[in-house]
Amino acid sequence: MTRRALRWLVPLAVVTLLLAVAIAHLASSNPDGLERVAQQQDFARKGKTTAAAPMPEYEVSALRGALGRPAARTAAGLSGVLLTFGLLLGLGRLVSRRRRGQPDPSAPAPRDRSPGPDA
Amino acid sequence: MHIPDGWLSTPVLLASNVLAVGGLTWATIRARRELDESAIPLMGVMGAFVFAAQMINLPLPGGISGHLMGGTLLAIVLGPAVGTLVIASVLLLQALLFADGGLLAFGANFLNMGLVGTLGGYVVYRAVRWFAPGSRGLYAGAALGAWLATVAGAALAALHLGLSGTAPLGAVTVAAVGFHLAIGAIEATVTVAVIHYLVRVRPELFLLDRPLPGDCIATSAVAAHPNPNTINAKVIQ
Repeated sequence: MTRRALRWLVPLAVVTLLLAVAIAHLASSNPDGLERVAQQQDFARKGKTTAAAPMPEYEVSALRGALGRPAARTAAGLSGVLLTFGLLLGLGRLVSRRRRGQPDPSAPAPRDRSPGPDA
Repeated sequence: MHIPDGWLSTPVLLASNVLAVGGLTWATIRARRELDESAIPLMGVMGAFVFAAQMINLPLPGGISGHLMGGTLLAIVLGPAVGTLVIASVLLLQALLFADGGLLAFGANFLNMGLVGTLGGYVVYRAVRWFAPGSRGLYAGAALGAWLATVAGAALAALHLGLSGTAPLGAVTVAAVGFHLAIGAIEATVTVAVIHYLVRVRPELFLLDRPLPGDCIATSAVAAHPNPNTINAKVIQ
């Protein structure tokens, strides 16, 4: 993978980081569609947590007291983005067998304008 | 629209998790055949983007909000199998680290926000492109697939809640589908915006005779079409 081949991914990665660390602070606090249904139908309070998570509500609980909410949220967003990226690189490596430039002989022949396997 | 634990009954949790394991098994087997090493960076960035976008609730009229779910987008860019693995990873991290969506409700959330997009939304996208070739079909298919997947996902979430006895099936379906008619517009807009960027920088990702996402990014695709305008002409007629 040359540096040039990855250059087009950089803007998407920058937007992703900006969304997670900056724009996330501007997120609407309105209930989302499902939360609103739960309020309307009066079952929102039934929700419970099975296991404690380190960053509930997308805030690092440990940082909230010391540094305040914005810092706790930025840290959670950044951790989430980096952990997702890292997890997927690992998963991708585990799943992919082929090496670049070696076409898979078992792959089906290219079809032109096929509607997809499920259509 | 993540379902927390406590909303669904044991039989519904069991059924949705069994279906989810089935979907993940299919996706893993197929992704092993399809995923090219060169597609891994795109897989990582797209997954991180969907995670970040899911943090951002956009306000909608009526005092509600909605965020991207991303299944359809991931399937269009990465292929349905790899897209399914990516959305499952995002939802799993959200449940484990952010308490967004219950751990036991993972299967339900994966069906409603993952598979419904990576399979249902993707099939709609391919069908539209079949009928309408060129860039119009590409964008229309992406928008329609994303919108329908959001509405169908809401109906599926309502079905989970109705079957669990948490709320009356009819009322909860009407409410959930109603709100998600508008939330689907967010899904369609973000999906089309990201695809619009990728069409400009990597048009070969969207060639229909290259259904394997790895092949699309590999340099072989560029070598086969040394003139990028040839690719553009093929995708954007």
